[in-house]
Amino acid sequence: MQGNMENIIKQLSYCIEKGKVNISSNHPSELAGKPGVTELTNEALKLKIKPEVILNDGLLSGMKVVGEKFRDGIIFLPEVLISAKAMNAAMEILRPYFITGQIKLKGKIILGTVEGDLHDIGKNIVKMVLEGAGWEIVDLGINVSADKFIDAISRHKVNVVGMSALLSTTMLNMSNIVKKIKTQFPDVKIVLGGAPLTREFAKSINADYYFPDPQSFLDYLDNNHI
Amino acid sequence: MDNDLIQKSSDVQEYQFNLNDLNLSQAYIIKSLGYSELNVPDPVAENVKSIFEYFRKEMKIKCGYKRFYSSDVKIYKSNFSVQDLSFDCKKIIGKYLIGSESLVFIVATLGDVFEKLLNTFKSNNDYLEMFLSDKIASDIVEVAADRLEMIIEEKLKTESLKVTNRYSPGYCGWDVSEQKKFFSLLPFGFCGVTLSESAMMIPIKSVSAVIGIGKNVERKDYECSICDDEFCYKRKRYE
Repeated sequence: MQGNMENIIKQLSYCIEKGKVNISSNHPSELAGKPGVTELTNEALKLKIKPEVILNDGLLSGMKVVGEKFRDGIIFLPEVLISAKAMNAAMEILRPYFITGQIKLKGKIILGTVEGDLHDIGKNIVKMVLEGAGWEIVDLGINVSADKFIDAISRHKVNVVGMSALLSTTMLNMSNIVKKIKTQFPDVKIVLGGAPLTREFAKSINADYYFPDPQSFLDYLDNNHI
Repeated sequence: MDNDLIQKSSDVQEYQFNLNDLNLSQAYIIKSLGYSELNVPDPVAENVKSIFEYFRKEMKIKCGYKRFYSSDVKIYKSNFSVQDLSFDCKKIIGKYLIGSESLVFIVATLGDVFEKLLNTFKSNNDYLEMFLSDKIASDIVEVAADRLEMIIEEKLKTESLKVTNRYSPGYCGWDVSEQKKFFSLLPFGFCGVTLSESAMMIPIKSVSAVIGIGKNVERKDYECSICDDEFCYKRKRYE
């Protein structure tokens, strides 16, 4: 029994790493016709494996491997997204345990595309990767004003806010938003992302960090006990 | 020929392409994602194929240019003016435009086909598909602008003129807010592109750029080594 449980957890981790959502997913070909994350998560719950163990030792352990491979340049962003999709399928099954508090997410982050900017692909990809790694995301969407960020920080009591912009015109709006947030919440860490941004720009407007990809944002969150 | 150039004040052309007219393959896209055809994961290969085919069927790519002749153009080290409108293009671009006798403003756009497809993916939370369609559309619009550059270059060869590389507002230090002045010199809604309040081109997948023209100009590579934008897409594209 113990061996079976360990085997399921190991398989879960591998299926996350490979992005195998369910038995009918053809990807990866080496696992064709075999159970995926959906079946294995259900099976693990049937075997009374603690949801916390399923999450930490199975799912998140698989995502950790994905993160390491991405960081080392072995895989690219599409594969991270394939794994994150499988992760989200498992998280849906575990959702009732999050609601009852039997398992807890790592923490809560606010994300939004700044005022004047309607681009949200990058922000959405960050959201998926962070959610897939066990973070709860409050997504404020696009065209988000300073007041809307501040209101969300007050209501959700978060320690980290991520904001994105794709244009060098709208990235200038970040300056005012960061200033307003820092005035009211000096301890809240503000993380920036988006094509025209740089570390230097983030520093110049007193934002705390700039990350060029979702994985480096995730590494920061995971390594700093936010 | 040169006399003819001086006498004219402007020259406007528009073209329409489809994906088959462009030198762009699925293999190029797979490679630009970082994969080889041997190691590309199946979901990536399958989605690239289906998105590419969708664009091949549905997309009407519009491109166009307006030529400004020497009487309308002044070029300095870090700025230039066209019809008395001054553009603060900064020194990286200014350095390459110096020596140009006249300028061409170009626009290329994919229309709203990309946005429509993207909205479908968004409504289904298909993040991989969102990412790939964005990447493919970005590649297409850049290759469409390459194609337009070739057309312009060929035309100018008949006048014994050469061209510089193309330089876009928003890159190499040129502030994107100058798009407003840039588009004010083009016919309204040129190629179907308009600007938002924040100078964002609509449709999203559009490119605008200036090209220098002259007898002694050269098409030089982007000098990414002296720019501080380490994650700029041009750095990745031209490296």
